[in-house]
Amino acid sequence: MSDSDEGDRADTVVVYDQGSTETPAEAVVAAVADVTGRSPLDLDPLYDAIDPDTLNTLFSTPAWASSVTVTFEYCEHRVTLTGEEVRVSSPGGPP
Amino acid sequence: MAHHTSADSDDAERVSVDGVFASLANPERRRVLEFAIARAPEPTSREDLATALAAWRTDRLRTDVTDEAHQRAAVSLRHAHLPKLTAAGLLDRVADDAVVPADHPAYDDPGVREVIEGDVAADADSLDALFDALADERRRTVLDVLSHQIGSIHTETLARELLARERDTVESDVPSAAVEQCLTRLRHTDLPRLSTAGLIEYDADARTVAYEGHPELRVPWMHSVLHPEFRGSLSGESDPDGIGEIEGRERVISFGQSLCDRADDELFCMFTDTQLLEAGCLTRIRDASRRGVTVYLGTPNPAVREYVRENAPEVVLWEPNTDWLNLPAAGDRVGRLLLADREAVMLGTLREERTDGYHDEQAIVGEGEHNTLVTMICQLLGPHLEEIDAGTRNAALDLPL
Repeated sequence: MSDSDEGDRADTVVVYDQGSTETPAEAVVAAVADVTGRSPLDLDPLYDAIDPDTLNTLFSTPAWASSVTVTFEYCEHRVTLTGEEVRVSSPGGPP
Repeated sequence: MAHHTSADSDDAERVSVDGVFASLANPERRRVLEFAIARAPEPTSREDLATALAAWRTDRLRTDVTDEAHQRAAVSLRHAHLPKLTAAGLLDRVADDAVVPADHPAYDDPGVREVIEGDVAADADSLDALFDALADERRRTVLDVLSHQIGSIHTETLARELLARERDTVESDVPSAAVEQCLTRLRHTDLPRLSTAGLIEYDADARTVAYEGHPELRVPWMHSVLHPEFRGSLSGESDPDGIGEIEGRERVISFGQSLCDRADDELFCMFTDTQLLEAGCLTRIRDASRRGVTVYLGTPNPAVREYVRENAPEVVLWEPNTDWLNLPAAGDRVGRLLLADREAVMLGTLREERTDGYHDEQAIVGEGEHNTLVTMICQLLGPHLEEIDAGTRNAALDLPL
């Protein structure tokens, strides 16, 4: 996983490392932990925001992953997930 | 663990069955439940669960788990597994950061216990797909409907039957708009999922569907029921030495299927009419023989004998004399007989023919080694079982009952 800031946008983007065994749900938790500066174990359960199984299912089938985008609220951030990356928008940032 | 005795509404019960199956559709959650049960009634701390899960994931001893693997397991538990298992009512959170198995009827279900304890032959992917498919009441009912048929049926026939059941009406009274809507959902959601799990054979082009089954699929699950007293719920029989009665073809079939599931050593079955061997029964007989049960099957149907020879060659086949068992039970003739482990028996009789061409049925059932009906049937059949064993395989056999 590598971080990159995109110019003046207030988003943090985490790009999946294709070689890692990290699941999409784990990538979301790690990205939000990064942005908020909190431990993954202190964040509210992801399950309270979205079913992690559903996320993993959506993005584990290549034919679906290439065309699916999921956006949801988690820990007061807007999280957008595609087959390649996790985008975390800071509170008050662009919708 | 005791049953829930609360007055749960039907809806709450259905939702909880969905949640149980969705929880079981993941190998890590099955292991988490196993760890928690092994420790029960003591609570298991999240720390210990994370260690156990990390050890299982990395195939190491619990004392050799790395910090990184432990941390990753802890994250999975916090964000996915533990919330899902507590929401399904399978685990209770106690004290700080510890869980304990909840008082849930799932733990009294022998099929669920075997799956949690890893005591099954099916591989993890196959179990995941099975429970994923089962986590929906409509799909469970599809399996029940199909398991009562032999061969494939058109998807529209299936949709009408499903809707007739849901609305408690006859198939001809189901409005065609509802059939369209049901067909859409079947085509795009339920049938592909059941087919992926190998539970049905589905031809999307021909629009036909047939029951296939799964070695770990239990009959009560198709009825959205978990507790082991399923057969008692069909027969209304609670006295273990008594004789129960079952009214209606569908209930007779379900009871017969569950007797096939129940057999550990020996299963004796006889069907006097070619109509009586449904796909659900046939696959269950096949599954019983595959798990090492000695199966005797008597049927006058050459097509069924051919199927059995191909799919379960170890089944002992024989041809019943068509005049067998003319018990004067209200003038009805005996249709089917199932005897599991010489401990549980169902004797079904055929009644008047229904408008759909099937006979209505009723049955008497008994369970327990010293049950009157079981004792009687065992005494009548015992010598003939030995005779079949002694080499009259595939031969006609008169049963002078």
